[in-house]
Amino acid sequence: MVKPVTVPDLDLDTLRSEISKEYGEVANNPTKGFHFHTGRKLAKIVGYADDLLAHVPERSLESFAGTGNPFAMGRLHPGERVVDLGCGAGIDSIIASRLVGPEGRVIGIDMTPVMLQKARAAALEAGVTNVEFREGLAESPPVEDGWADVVIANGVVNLCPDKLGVFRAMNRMLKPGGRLQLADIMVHKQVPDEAKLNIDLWTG
Amino acid sequence: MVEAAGFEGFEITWEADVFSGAPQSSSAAAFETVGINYRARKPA
Repeated sequence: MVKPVTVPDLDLDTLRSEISKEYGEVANNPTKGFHFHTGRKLAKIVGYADDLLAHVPERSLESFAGTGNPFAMGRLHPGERVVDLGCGAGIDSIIASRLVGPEGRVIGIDMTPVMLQKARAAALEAGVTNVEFREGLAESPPVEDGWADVVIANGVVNLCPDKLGVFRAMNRMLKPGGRLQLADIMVHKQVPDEAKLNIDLWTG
Repeated sequence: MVEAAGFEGFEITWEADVFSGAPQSSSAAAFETVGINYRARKPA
């Protein structure tokens, strides 16, 4: 039996607040310089093709802070429904909205209000009308059961202590046969338990 | 863990160092952290 991976001594509200503060900075001041790359430079590092980025407004792209490319491991098809969990400033949601076309739909979920504001403004600027953005947590996303054909996420699961809870939420949102296309981080050296209590390591 | 949540066909399709050269020093190198792409499917 697999037990949920949790960090019992970590204050969840404090962690979420610090993560939201960090990514609020990525939204408001994307060129500040972080522990990770951001923006167009990062998008090229993780392999986004130019044609995917061509229609993404700069206000969205500048705050990109993903760890990979959810579009690299499988195509999205016209008419599909996509959930972008931890959508940030909306780059992947906007790309997905173009790939699924006018008959498809995309829901972007994020817990950081300023990121959602940027995502909504970017979608308006891009002229995509099949995407909506909702505030929520990765562990309890506000999407109905069995709604999605595909769940994408980019650098989000690693920010959540209850990773099994996040994957179960993804399962709940997907239709039978639905796909996960995710990007995240992986460590090749074990992280000591005491390091897991260091919030700076979670945010950076 | 992905399979424990009810998925099948878990597969890591890509990994790369995505942190080197970031503006601020990072703990990423200490834990040999890489970016990955992965996929899985909910059983039909």
